[in-house]
Amino acid sequence: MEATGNHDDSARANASAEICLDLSGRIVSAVGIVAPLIGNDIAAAIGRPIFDFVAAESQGNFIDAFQRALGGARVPNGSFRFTASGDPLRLEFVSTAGQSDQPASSAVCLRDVTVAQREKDINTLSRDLFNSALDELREGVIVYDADFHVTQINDALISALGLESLPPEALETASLARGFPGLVPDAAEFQQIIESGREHHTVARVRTARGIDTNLILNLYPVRDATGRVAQVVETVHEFAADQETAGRLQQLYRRQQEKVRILSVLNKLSNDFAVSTDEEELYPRITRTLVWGLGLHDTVAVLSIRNPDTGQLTLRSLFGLDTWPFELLMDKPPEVPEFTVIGEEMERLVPHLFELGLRSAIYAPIIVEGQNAGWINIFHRSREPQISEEETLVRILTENLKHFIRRWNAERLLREKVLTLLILRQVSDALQVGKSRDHIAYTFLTGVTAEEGVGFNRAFLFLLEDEEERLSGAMAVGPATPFEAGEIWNRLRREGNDFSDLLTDFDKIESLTKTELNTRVRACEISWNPDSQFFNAFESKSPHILHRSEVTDDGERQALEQLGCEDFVIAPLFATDRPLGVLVADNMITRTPIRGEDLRFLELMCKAGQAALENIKLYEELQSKIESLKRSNVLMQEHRARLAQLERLGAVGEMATTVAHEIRNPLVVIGGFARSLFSDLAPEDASRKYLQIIIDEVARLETVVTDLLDFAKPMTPRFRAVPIRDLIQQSVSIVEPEFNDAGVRIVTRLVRPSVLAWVDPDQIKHVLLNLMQNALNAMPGGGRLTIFARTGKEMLHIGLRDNGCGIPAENLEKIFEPFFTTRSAGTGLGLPIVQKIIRSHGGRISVKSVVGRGTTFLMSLPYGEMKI
Amino acid sequence: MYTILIVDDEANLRLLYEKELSREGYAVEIAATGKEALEKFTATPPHLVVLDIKMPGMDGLELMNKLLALNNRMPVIISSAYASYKDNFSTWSADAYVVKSSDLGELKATIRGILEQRYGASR
Repeated sequence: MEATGNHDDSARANASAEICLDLSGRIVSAVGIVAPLIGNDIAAAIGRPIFDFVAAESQGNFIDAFQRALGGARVPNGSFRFTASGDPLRLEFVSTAGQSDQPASSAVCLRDVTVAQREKDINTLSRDLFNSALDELREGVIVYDADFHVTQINDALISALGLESLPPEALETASLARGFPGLVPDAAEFQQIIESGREHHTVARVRTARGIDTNLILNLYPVRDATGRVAQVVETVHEFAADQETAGRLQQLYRRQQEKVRILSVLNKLSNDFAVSTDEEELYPRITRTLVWGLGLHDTVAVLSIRNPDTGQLTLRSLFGLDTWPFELLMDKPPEVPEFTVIGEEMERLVPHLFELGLRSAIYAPIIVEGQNAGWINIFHRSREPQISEEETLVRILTENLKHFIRRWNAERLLREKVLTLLILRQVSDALQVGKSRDHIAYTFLTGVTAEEGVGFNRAFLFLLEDEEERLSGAMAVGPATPFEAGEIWNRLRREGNDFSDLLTDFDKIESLTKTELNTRVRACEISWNPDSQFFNAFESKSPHILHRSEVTDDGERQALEQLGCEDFVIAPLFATDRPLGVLVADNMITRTPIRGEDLRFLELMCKAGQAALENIKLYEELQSKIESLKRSNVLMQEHRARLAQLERLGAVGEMATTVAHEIRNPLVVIGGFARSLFSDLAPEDASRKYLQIIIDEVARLETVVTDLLDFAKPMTPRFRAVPIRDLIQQSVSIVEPEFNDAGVRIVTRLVRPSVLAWVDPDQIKHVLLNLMQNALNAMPGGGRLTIFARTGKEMLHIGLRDNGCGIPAENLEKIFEPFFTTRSAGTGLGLPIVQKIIRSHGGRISVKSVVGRGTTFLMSLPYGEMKI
Repeated sequence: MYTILIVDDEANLRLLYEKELSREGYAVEIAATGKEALEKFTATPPHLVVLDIKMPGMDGLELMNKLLALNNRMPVIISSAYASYKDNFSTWSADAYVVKSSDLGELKATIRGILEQRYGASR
């Protein structure tokens, strides 16, 4: 079982979780952040085989690694997926059998070194960048960490000392010190540098591996980390020929070393930034700032400009070191010089305006992405030349890194745009399904189209077809007066975390937004069909395309476009399945961004969603109106059905009544007949006569019932005549007047002109009037007043009878027209049903109103005409 | 003295008519069915016939047609419990249509009127 102590310690220090397994792979212990491997319930996991938690695709490799670890082999760190977590985890398998600090049954330990590995990877990346920078330098460089371990040694030094053949392990402090006495500071010196933070310069004579004695100048520079502590020491190693020692030269050399170190620290810092940065807004200023600080604060101006991938326009993204205008002068290179340029003496000639600003030298470094210029890094100095030759290298490295960054950034931007597009589409589609009216839908649709800068357009106008597709009429416009307004809605949504559908439910509050100037203008636009019309021709093309106002020949269209201020615009046809529905017009009048192919595709997608919703609304509205008319028909049908049921009931009653009545009538005739006969047989004084009279009266009463019943049952076709209604009413009144007078009931009439003719069966109407008057009389046993009034309406004649009798209780009011309903002890309850039947067969209606204790009014209507005199 | 032939399937009604019409001073013949009525009609021709419509076997209308075929100047009064036949045109051949009532006044007046009209002064 091979396991070295060192290896374990460092590995353990780097693990975020440690799970120990026994010989059959069962979990014996679990320490640290084990949830990604075995879930949250650790207690339940203990005792279970680890393989339960490994995802299917990693099972094979996992079992392999486990078995190898069991066998004592050293297993390289592998990557495995677990069912508890999404991303694969890097695991280290280590045999632990026999170790005292592990559980007894533990055979193999799993260590999760994912995080450590990741950090190592990042470090490796920045390390690699740093190294490549180091290797560019012609001086030798050794970098020590704070514990005096060698962490870097560059190629220049390796080759100068002849160290190529040595294994990497030999390139550490102790062996270097042994092999090249004087090259490496001693421990005490080093410690002092760490503590004092001060540079140290020395000279040494060193024999290289090839046996050559060399004079070297050694400079040690402490480098601080973010906390201010000295974290590294950089040693530069510079060769010099003994006979060329001059103080001035030394000075120069020192200075150069200092600058080199500065460069190195700049690069070191920036390399990290490039690897992890995701925000260009943050990155660019950091680059220029770091450059200026790194290269000399008072002397340097650094300018970073990036070209907009859509417009090709170069924009200044970051400037450091100069606070006066004009910035633009600093951005692009003078046209006469080749691409990557260092300008020294010719500054005055080539760029006199910069020379006037006090700048004496310049480096122009282009950033090339996929063969195209994507921007510039320009560095200017107020001294005569670029201070250090390495500056050029530095800048080249920077541009290289920036190139990668920009490429990545562009890809991300495109992706972000696509994601945003999809997000917008989804939100708008959802909202369109919820929208309840045409205005809702139009507003949603247009707002989706004018979504956001970079995706969508500034303004959008909707025109809908009217008049059987002969005319396009402006329906709605969504467009900001300023770019700010456009983003406002979406920014507010993002801030408040709302869904687009929430916005729609607040539609009424936002309705004021639809009362904009632009909206008013578009609603005034009307375009009639004609063969030249570009708008109508859009239906032929079936997909969105770009137009310019100058291409529009039709006057009406031209005028509309002028009113709306459109110059370059997109026109997209909208279809409801196959039928044309309208057109959408959109432009970028505010930002004047050119319309790209992606914009057209975006619009096409939006149109598909929008037209489906618009069609739905149209169908929905049609459906609504159909439902309304169906509802009305239904109500009418209910009424008819009720009446039919009533008629059937009456019919049944009628049939039965007829048979019964006839069966009864004959016996009644016999009974009554003989009673009368006997009556006349008896002498007037005979007391029995009285009783016979009773029989006669009762039979007469019964006969009335039979007659009523038969009257009611038989279909009575009215025989219509034009009758002066005034006369008819007055006749009926005179019939009952004596009886009314006896009862103390006054009759008041307010009738129409004699020329008014009613189209009626006079006998039946007389029957009606007599019946109603009889009822009124019965309601006023102690006397009262009956008012009979008649007036002409638009189509019908209205006749009313109002009494101030006892009235009819509300619960009975509906029933009084039902056959056999009566509250009196006498009577069949057929009087009013017959009255209603008569009125209805005349094509009229009868209704009743009553207040208990106050009186009752019957109102009926009949067809009428005027007599022409 | 006038002779009146009464045709009705109800025995009690026949009795009533006989009593009351005799009191009026008429000679009354009664028949229960159409067949009987035809026999009596040919045997003893009356001055006027009163008949019911709804009768089993031969109904009143059929009988009426047969009687009128024998003597088309014979006055016929239909006395029926049904008011609806008043509107039936086939009853128009009758000289009068009276709805049965316990008050025989209308029937008596109608008989008197027709006899006067047809045969001149009463009795």
